[in-house]
Amino acid sequence: MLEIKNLVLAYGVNRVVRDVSFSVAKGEVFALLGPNGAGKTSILRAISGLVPAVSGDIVFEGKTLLRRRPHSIVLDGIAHVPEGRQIFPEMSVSDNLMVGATVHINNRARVRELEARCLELFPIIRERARQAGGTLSGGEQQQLTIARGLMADPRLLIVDEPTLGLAPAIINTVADSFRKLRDLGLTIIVAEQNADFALKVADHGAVLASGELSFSGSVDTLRDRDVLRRAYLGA
Amino acid sequence: MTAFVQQLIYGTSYGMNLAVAAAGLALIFGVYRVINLAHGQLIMLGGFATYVVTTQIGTHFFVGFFAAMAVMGLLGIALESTIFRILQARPATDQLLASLGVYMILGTVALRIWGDFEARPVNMPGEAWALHLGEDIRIDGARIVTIAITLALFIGLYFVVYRTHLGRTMRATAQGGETAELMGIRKRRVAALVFFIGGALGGSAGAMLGGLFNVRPDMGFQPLLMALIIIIFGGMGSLGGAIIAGLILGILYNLTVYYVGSKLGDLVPFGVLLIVLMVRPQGLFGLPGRRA
Repeated sequence: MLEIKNLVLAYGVNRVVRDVSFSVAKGEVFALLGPNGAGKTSILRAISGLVPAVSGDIVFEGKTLLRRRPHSIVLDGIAHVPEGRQIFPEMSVSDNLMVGATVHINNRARVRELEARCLELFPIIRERARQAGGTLSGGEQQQLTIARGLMADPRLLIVDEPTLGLAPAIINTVADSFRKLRDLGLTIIVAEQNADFALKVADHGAVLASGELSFSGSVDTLRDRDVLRRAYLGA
Repeated sequence: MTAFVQQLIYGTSYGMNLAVAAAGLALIFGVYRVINLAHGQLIMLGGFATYVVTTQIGTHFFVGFFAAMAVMGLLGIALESTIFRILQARPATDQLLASLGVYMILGTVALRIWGDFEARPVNMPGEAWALHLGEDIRIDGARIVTIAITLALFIGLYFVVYRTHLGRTMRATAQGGETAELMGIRKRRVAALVFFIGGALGGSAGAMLGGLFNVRPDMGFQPLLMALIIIIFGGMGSLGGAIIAGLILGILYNLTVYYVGSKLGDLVPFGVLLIVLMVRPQGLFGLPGRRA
């Protein structure tokens, strides 16, 4: 469904992602693992059109995503839940949700369906609908950002560091919502530093260490091998 | 007492005028993060557009008024797409200086075309009549018309910003530009929209100021200064703050001019600015520590 081919990304002369390739199959949860600064977020930003590629290619359902504007990538069926939650703090929860539906906003029936789906998956959003987004707890905000991403009705959902700063009990609810999303038939790419979480929810994964790919394959092999330990500890 | 009521109403109409001008500036700053000093000249050119269409061509005031809004809105879009967009990646001071440059160029062009010798009136509806309240309070019809127009503009602005999806995209961009893009919001379209509305508000302020006081090439300076103080007073980027701060400033200004003297009136905005910066630097509706 999504193929990253020999991708090179740079900020100025600093190459933060070097020659990375992996592919994500339809319907799976794919984990992008690695320590802080390994280049996970940069790859996700490149998929969404926020960072230009120096070389290589990103192909989604047979079409390249390079040199495309973010909104047209959303239109193509990719939603991106950014790092650090990034809700709109002074907008109401329901307004936050509706912003996610921007590309479908003229199709009222579809927006209503999408909203109903989100409220069913994340009932807390209905309870908090009129509150300002900034007043939600961290876990609630994370649910809101995932729901907001779903409002674009994506086929591929990108989630960057969903467990960052969340308490263990809340991380479990995030894991639950990932399972529900997979049941909807969604393909998910999740970038995580939290390997436990990633290994719990993902089918396949890739491990990045300082901008280079050190492993890619099923999470079962990942559990057994010590690539993770090496990526994180440099040992 | 009667004089006080009269000055209160005149101050309200002036303050609402300033608030319209300031709302345009606040909207552009809130969403686009640029302090657009050229806004003052959009106010002035809005006045001249109204003068040309209403007085010279001889149409009804509202034809000139809407023409001024449309033309200044388009000029706003033109400024964004030619100058500010290129400078967005640069430090804020570069954009500020560029907008000052635009201010000077537009001012010089207006001076060349219209000169500053002639009194150029714009006929507003309501000039022929006045409202008499009680025995000796007399309120010019034009003032009442100004208050009615500004109220309509604020209601319209509120509706667009808080009750439509376009407004949602503007608020989302203001609160997190990159995240808004990830939600499928087109950055350039929002920028064009914001500069159009901002320019149109400036143009409408110019049309009304022209109707109340005549049109001059330097008429943009005072409202620009007042609008800058208003958006600091109201809280940078806050629309409601701009409206309330505009009203307070307009009323204070009129009362001071009437009771203390016209020379001291010009000190009012700066006195208010000084007090605001000392007591509540984030302004009326600015949140402390909010990234502005």
